[in-house]
Amino acid sequence: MLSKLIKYEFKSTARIFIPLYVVLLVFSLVGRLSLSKMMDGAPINPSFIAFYDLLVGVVMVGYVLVIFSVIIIGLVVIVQRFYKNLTGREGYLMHTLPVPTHHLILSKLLVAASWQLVGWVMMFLSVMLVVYQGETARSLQEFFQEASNPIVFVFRELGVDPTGFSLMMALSMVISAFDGPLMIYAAIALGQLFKKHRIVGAVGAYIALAMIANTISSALTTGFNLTGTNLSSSEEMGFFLNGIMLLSLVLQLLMSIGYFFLTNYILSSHLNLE
Amino acid sequence: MTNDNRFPLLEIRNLTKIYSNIQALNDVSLTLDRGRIVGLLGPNGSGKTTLIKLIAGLLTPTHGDIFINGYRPGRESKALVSYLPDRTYLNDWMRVMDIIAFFADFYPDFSSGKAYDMLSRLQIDPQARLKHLSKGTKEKVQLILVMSRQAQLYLLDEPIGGVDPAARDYILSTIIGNYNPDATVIISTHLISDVERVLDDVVFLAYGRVAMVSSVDDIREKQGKSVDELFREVYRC
Repeated sequence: MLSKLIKYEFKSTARIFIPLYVVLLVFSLVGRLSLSKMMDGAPINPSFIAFYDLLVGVVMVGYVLVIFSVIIIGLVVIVQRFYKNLTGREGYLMHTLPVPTHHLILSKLLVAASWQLVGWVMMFLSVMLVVYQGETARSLQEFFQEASNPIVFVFRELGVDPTGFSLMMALSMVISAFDGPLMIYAAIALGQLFKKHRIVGAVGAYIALAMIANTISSALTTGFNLTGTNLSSSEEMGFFLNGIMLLSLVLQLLMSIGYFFLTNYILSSHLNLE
Repeated sequence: MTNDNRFPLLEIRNLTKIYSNIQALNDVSLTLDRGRIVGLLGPNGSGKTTLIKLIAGLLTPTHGDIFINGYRPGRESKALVSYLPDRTYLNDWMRVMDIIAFFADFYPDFSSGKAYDMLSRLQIDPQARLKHLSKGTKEKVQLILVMSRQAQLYLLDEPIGGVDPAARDYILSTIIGNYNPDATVIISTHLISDVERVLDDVVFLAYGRVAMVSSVDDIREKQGKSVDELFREVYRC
């Protein structure tokens, strides 16, 4: 049954995300074309310069707006799909299906996290599509070539393995794709415990959860700091940086698991649809 | 679906539901057998919808227990219960045929053939988008979805409130004609005279309590009244 839930969740979100990404790609192409003349360094007919500048300006403003909308619409869909489908009137259908509550939550989560990851990849590709051409491409290549050696050098000096560090960064992005939606779900579920003003309750719960997460993570970092690590040697510095990185990953993972169980507990044992 | 006769189909023990400060249900106990059509009757605010939502598993009881074929409301009970809410739960962007495919996917006891048959009888286009349907047509679609299942317990909250009298007759004859003889149907309504002829039993609710449980035959024979007359008497304002 979980696979069927995922199928329907995918269908109902794809009809928003796919057109959104198509618009993003179209704008990236327009952006690339409008910048291409400038980047080629080819001479532009002087009488068109003012017009050309205006055009590039308009396209770039449009492009930035599209990038912002992709981020905002992505978030709104995550909130809406959970709020409307599981706690609104559509919940009358979803909560009477013969499926366990954690399958309902999992189907939403897996689809939301996948769209988050796809969205990040799309935005990266889109920016590359616009910028990576002509002179900029050459200077970016040079920058990476020149910068990669010192970066690797600095990492080595700090005792941090660059490959391990990149892997941890990638892992952190994947965990964030789950952690973000789960925190929203937990906040909406907590809002359901209020008799009235459940949206206000959910917003309040979100702020409270964010504050708790911040407090725990800064308390742990401070605690880690106080372990008597002397940061003067590169070995200890590396231990410290790796440790902090790993600690925050584990913490984020544990919080996500906590949000999941909290959401499941409220929706299965304290459900009260309005 | 196996029919386990060790348990009554529906057993409710000392059920209480309190919202904020309002006591919607107060110590309700009720047992219903298989193969009955039961009218859940009472004025507005008497607790009909609350009781049905508790059985469907959409509300959590404040006190008391509910058992459907021995199961508390949950995944197992939901496979046995076919529930028509008092509001529309349809996704606006779906077509009628999409929601039929959805039901066929999730309920093994759902018959798409039966659903398409009823759609054509009520002249509803399966290609139509749900957001383009009128309120009454949406209600008909939901009723068709619910009655196309071979469930053990049907919970129909105001099934005929929003539809025209001709459709009302068709719907009522579907309710009596279409369901399996071992199944029980609970119909909540205040349009008593319309449903009276199909009912076997009635449960009267008043102020969150069970005011009376009786078979319709008993009301007619012993009291010499129709259910409608008795209702007007019991709930005289």
